[in-house]
Amino acid sequence: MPFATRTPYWPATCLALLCALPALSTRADEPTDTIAFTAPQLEFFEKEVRPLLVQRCYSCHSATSKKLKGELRLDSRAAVLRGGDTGPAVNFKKPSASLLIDAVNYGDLYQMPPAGKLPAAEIATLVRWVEMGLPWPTEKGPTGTATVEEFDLASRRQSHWSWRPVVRPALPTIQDADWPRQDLDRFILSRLEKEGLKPAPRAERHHLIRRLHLDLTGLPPTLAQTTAFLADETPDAYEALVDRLLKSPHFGERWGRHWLDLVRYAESRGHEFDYNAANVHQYRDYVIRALNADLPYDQFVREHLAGDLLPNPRSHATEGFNESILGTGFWFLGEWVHSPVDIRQDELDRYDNMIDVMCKTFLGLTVSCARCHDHKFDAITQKDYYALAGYLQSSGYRQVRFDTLQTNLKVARQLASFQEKAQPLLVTATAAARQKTLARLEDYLLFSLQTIGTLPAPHAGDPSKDVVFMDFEGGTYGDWKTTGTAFGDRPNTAKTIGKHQGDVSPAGKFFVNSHSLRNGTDVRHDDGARGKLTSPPFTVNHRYIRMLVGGGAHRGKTCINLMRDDKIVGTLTGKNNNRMETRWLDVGPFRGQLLSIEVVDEVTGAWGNIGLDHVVFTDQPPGVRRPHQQLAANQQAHVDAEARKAKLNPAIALAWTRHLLAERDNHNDPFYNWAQLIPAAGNSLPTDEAVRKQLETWKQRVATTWSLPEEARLLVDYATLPTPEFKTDGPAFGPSPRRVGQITLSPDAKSPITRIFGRAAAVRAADWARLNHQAGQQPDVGALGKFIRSGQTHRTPTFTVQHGSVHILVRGGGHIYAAVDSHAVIQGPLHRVLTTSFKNNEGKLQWVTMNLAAYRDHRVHLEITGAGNAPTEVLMVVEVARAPALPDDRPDPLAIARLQPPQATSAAILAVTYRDALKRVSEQLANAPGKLTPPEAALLTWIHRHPELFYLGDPLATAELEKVSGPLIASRNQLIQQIQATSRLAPAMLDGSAEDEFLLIRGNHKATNGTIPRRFLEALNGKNKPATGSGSGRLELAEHILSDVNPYVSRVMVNRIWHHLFGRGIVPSTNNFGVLGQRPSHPLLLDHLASTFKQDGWSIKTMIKTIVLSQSYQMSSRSNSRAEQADATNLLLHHKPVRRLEGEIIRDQLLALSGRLDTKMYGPSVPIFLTQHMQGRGRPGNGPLDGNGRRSIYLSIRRNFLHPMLVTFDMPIPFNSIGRRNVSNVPAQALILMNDPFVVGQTELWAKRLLSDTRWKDMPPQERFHARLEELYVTAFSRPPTVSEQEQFAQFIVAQGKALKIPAESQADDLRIWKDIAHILVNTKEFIFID
Amino acid sequence: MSHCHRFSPVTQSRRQMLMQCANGFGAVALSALMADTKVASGAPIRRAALNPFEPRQPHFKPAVKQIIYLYMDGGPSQVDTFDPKPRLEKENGKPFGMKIEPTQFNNIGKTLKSLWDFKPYGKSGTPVSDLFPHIGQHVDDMVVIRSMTSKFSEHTNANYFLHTGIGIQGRPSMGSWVTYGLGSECQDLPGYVVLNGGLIPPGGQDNFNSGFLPASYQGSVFNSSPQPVANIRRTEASDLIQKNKLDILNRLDRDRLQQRGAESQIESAISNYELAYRMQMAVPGLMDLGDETKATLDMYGINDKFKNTQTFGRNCLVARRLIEKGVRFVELTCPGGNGDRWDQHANLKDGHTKNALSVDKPIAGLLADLKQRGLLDSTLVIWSGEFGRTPFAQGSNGRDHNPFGFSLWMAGGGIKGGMTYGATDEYGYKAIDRKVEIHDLHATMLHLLGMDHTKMTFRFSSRDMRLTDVHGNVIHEILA
Repeated sequence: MPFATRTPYWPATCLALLCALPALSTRADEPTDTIAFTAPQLEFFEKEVRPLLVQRCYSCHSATSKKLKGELRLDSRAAVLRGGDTGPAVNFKKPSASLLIDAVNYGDLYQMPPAGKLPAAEIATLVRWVEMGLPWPTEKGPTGTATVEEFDLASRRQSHWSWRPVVRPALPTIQDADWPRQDLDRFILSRLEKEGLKPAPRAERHHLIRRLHLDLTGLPPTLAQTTAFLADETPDAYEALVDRLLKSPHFGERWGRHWLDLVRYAESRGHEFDYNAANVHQYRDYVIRALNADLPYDQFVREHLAGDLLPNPRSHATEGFNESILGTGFWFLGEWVHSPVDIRQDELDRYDNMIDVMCKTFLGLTVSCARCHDHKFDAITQKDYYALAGYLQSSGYRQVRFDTLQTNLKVARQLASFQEKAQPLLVTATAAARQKTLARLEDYLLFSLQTIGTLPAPHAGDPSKDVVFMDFEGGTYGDWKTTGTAFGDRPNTAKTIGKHQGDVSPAGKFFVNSHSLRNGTDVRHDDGARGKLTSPPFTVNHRYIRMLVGGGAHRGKTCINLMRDDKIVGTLTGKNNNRMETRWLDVGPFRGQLLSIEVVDEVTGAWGNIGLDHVVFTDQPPGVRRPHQQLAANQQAHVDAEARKAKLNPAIALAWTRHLLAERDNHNDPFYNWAQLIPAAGNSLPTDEAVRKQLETWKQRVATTWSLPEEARLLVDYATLPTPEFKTDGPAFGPSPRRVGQITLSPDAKSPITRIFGRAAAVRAADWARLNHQAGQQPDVGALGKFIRSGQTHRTPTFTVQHGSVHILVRGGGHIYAAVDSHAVIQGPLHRVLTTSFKNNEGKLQWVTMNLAAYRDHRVHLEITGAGNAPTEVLMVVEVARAPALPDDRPDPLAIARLQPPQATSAAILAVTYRDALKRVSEQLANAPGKLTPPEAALLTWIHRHPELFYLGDPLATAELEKVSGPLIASRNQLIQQIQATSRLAPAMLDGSAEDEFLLIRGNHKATNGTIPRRFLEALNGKNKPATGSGSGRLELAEHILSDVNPYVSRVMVNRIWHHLFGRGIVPSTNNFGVLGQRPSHPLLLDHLASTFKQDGWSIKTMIKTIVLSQSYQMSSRSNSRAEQADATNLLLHHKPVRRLEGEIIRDQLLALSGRLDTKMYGPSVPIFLTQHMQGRGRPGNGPLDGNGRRSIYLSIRRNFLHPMLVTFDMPIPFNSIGRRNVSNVPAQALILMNDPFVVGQTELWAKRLLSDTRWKDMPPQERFHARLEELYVTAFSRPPTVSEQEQFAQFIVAQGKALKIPAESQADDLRIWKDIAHILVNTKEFIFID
Repeated sequence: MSHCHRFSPVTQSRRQMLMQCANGFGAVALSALMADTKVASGAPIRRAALNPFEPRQPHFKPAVKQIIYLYMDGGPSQVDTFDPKPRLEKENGKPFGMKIEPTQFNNIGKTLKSLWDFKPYGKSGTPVSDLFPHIGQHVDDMVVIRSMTSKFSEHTNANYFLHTGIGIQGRPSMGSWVTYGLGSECQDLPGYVVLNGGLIPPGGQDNFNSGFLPASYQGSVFNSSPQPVANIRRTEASDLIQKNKLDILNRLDRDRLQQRGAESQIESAISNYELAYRMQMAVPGLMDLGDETKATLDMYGINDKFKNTQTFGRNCLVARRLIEKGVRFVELTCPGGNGDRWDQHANLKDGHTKNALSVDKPIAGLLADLKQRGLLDSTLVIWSGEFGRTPFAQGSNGRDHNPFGFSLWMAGGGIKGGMTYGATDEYGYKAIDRKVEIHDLHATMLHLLGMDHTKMTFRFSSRDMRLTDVHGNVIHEILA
């Protein structure tokens, strides 16, 4: 390597530039189309079109253009046909859709000519021209030099120094062998010797201690530390000092602040309201801890890029939480926008910042210059840029429960594998418990019917029976009166309502439904009919009216009203669901009074209908499903006696009897049809005729099976989703979706199975419902902040929106966030539709609809969060115009009918049918659970939830079951106990589906050109290693970045360390090692350090120690004139550069001197003090003037309200990666040190501290003055005052004493004087520079 | 290949440099500039490095020396101010006749005619709405550009874009660029002053920030208060007490410097105190209007009944005083308390009436005063928002943001008075004739100041950054 010139690589640079010149090529020789045009057509072209093109277009779109725009030429027919970089300019099939025509019409993609729209006549001319087929005479194409620059990656890579691998250089030979203390010194010295220069002598020790303290910890040495060091004459005193400082916790604070510059660390989002960026201080603390722990830098990089994906994340030494994942928070420290009108553009701008920060920080490369075109100078293509963008497209934002993540994930995994083991045991055990009853099920069924028919009358005092007021089964409205048209003249049946309503779940055949076929027209499109249906008056003798209600949720307009004397005394509406459900009205207060019921439909349009059926007067309170007290004591005794006679288990027989009575009208009960056969009082069994009739209605229902409408797009289907594609934020959704045939366990050993899944689903189990946040965690801004998302959110695969009507089939309660273009600030006025919530509907399935029509063609994934104590299930996501009917989910008679088609002609045969069906489904659960159909699974769920019908009355069978289930439940409970419910939060990445980014022509998202596979830079062999697998592939990217192929990571980092210790990097442009960056002053030294760094295990502390132990670092900052002439800019480091302290360190020093410094580490930031000059939207709460004495790194950094003192002393605006701060010199700095109340206040404290010290109280005043002055000097500058300084202050005291009217004798003890002296010292330049 | 030259070592020694700056007030060296700068006018590096506010030669003979930017935060409606559209009148209340782009609130109403009448003013007959009867008097000194466009529908992005040429945080403001390029004619005040009428635009102080330029070029936001700028008042009880301190400070620093040997950074920091002290002395007098006549105060509306007219009037008058002192770039923000900035998503009538009342008379007063003092010829006054408003209603009585076409006017030296330039379509929705981008505005501003916008660069992140990025065309047709 040539060392003789002062600009190494200079020749190579020139070469690089030559190579970078555009390769010239012309496209003039292309053949002209030979279509024959008519003479008038050609004349039209020559007269009208050609002049227009020349005048309006050719300055940018011809061979003679100064600079060809968009690679489009319009100077030959062939060129027009070929078009530019967004494709052909014309479309003959649809001339109006031609890009050329769209552009002159100022379309979405182009508005041409840019300066102003053409007159309408000229646009018409062009349209006509295109419609004619572009008449153009045969001519030779024009020639010219307007061409497209060719990009030659290989030659760029080869011609620029920084792409070459790191090679450990030989140590240079030197003359003065005594000078070096470290190998690195030889590189510095050899350069100086070549220039005939001598390095500066070693700095004085008081300089060294202050330099080291400020460089390594950012705090000045205390008086005691200075004194001890200056007194320590041992040879290793300096190294001992270095070791002590590297061990200091303040080291991480000092170097952490350097790092935060690189990742544009801030705690708010900027933009209009400067919203809070939640919990980002966790990232800051992570950085400080990592540096203090001397985390190997390669691991630090890995954690930043993919800490969420590490198979074995790093744990905090004492608290055990996941450290690694916190690194990924850096991606999300940028500016965020709320309500962007162009949401995709906003995403691309965000990504651009993320890519820019990542590449500058870790690679020292300006990759984001390649967003719109190949890099102008470096070996970086536009494809490289979009290849990296794909990693972001495949990853998202979350707040992670980092405290508890690992433990809870482990619990979740253990629960899943436990479940797998427990399932067959429990299935077998419950089946065994049922076995005895199931074998005689037909007997129990027949017995129940018989017994109910012959029950004695209840004794007095038993609860009154339900009275069915109206069930419409007569097929007419009876005494009920209608007005308007909505209710027609009679009740509906399943056949007379619109098919789209699906199963409205009536009781029996007839029901009221105002959303119906009327006059032969399907009225669903407008629900236009309105009207009223009124019952006859009745006297209230019960506490409640129970009924089935469905339809719209318009208060007072689609409703059931309770009327007394024409006044509404009670009301309820539907729930925007056609399927009717059981509802109650409390009529207790009206006992004995005369009321009536009104069914109202006064709404047209969406959900403008109401449904009603089966109105019952009852004393059973809402929610009571199994009315055990329904049988009076004498009736129970009767059943008991009869069962014994029949040699049936009396308890189980009683259970069946009760069940049939209770569920007699519940069409969702599997034994509904059997219960319907309950004969009239006094009869023992139903007639065969009654059985036949019942079977007919049953068969009718069997005919319908649920399926998705054909036109529906099934976007997410958990049945086919492979486990690796199942993405969750934490443990609550488990490691995979629940598959068909899997069970849910209950904590009840007598009834250990509560559900058998009939459809695959993502499930947040109830065990996780108690997840919560530790107090003090900050919520995300806007709608997302209102949900407790962390740990219990599932991210669906990504899909592209077509028309935007998206429906999610769920059970339980929860929240849904549609992440469109990763926009997460859901805070109006736009994009509010991206979040929605759903409430638990008594455990029933429901469709949640999201209207994403505004996001057609955008890529979206859903993040679904569980809420409430019930399990949250997600079964599928579909896109279809209207929500499909709800699928079968009930253990209704259909399940049995499908298993065993009922063909019986007598009750006895039918009972056997039931028995066989139940047996068959039980066997299937044991043998082939994965093949269960949804109705079968529902039936099994029902069976398992009704142990009283099968074995609870059989103590022996129950005990056998508990022997198996008891221990299993106990060990499961133990696992659940381990769930850590409360956690802290931090921003982190969440991996999503593998998504490649589109290549955007000129960065314009409206002009895409295919997708680019995710990979690292082509010049560093990225092309050969595209991402594979299911997620983003960031972990592989991290390994590629850290591989030896990449020379940047180690070079860039050692250069940063050098920069911070010398004030200038070996490569001064620390964030740009590219062609436009600066060349290394000592290239071999750079590679020496880079290879040492890797060799020493990427240890930052070791590298720092190596450097600060060097002779080069310990040089004096004074220059000598000979060297100064030869090396005026100190490029060769003939002396140690003087450095201005950063604003943070100036402030921290003030606190250290005044004694106000609070060395507390970590935690939420202290709000900054706001002056009256800091106004504007999003103004935060005001903080204490002195920041509670905390170090500056713990002051809050809000983008729109930055700390004025720190900013004035060049703390960077956190908008991009900053590797090298400005060092400016502005009047405002002087004004702050002169007049700022904080500075003045701290100097006063310092003076007070001094005066309160009693050490000198007995000295003569003169001596006391000197002692105090010395104390101030040594504390501030690690040196005593000079004689001249002492004299000057002695004079000052007199002058200022006079001005302040302080008597001469007390001047040397007056606080006002000492406050001024302290203030003067912090205003000296020595205070803000490191010498 | 020009980018290679910047690494040539500076041949001048520090000692020489120190000698140069030893006797100049505000002899402020900027190591940041020295390290990585290609200087604005192509002058040698050292020259610019010495004093950030030292006036620097423009690239060519300038038409004006100073700029006042009247920033109408929130986006005044073009069709209610300077761009009359009869077709809106005809189709008032009907569905809007053009394809509507997505808007900020997506609450599209019907076509909405202007709520104000337009009258021709001056010899030129330029129409101005009744919102601005006073400003109307000056149309013959103004060019109204009716074909302004922006790229953003959001306030903050659009504010950043207007101020810095890029729609996100972190770039230098136009005032910073101008001061960086030309320095200032005033050595005891900042070169770029923002007079805060009460409303800091969305995006905050970053609209006035120096971004990656040295902090010296940051806009100093002045409030109307006893302490118009932070830390401008001494905390000592008297001048003497402070002076005593500054005297010994200066001696200690200089002794120390002598002892340790020359070091330009330290020397510059010492000199910096002199400039700071002068600013401390100059600012209070600036804000004290006691020496102005009643006629002047009346002309600016300072004695008007409406409080916001008084506020803005005072700032307009301070702006004139800053111009007189030679400050390079003065920006005014709007008074608060009119319900909202010019951002009438609803209640257009009330909001625009109050906002116009606040600024109409003061601006007219400013133009008249500058003219009578002969300052208008060397000053460029610019009036605009960050975008315009939709010609269709938002809801029933408001207008939404519209970046596709809006109006801006300039008055003062170097421009053709009494003309309009460019046009929007018949509805006043989108610019269709001689469309002007924000970059073109910046290019033209710099041109009038004698600067070639493609040559005024600052190297940051290893790129030669420009206010106009890679865009911008000077609008020659409006130049005199």
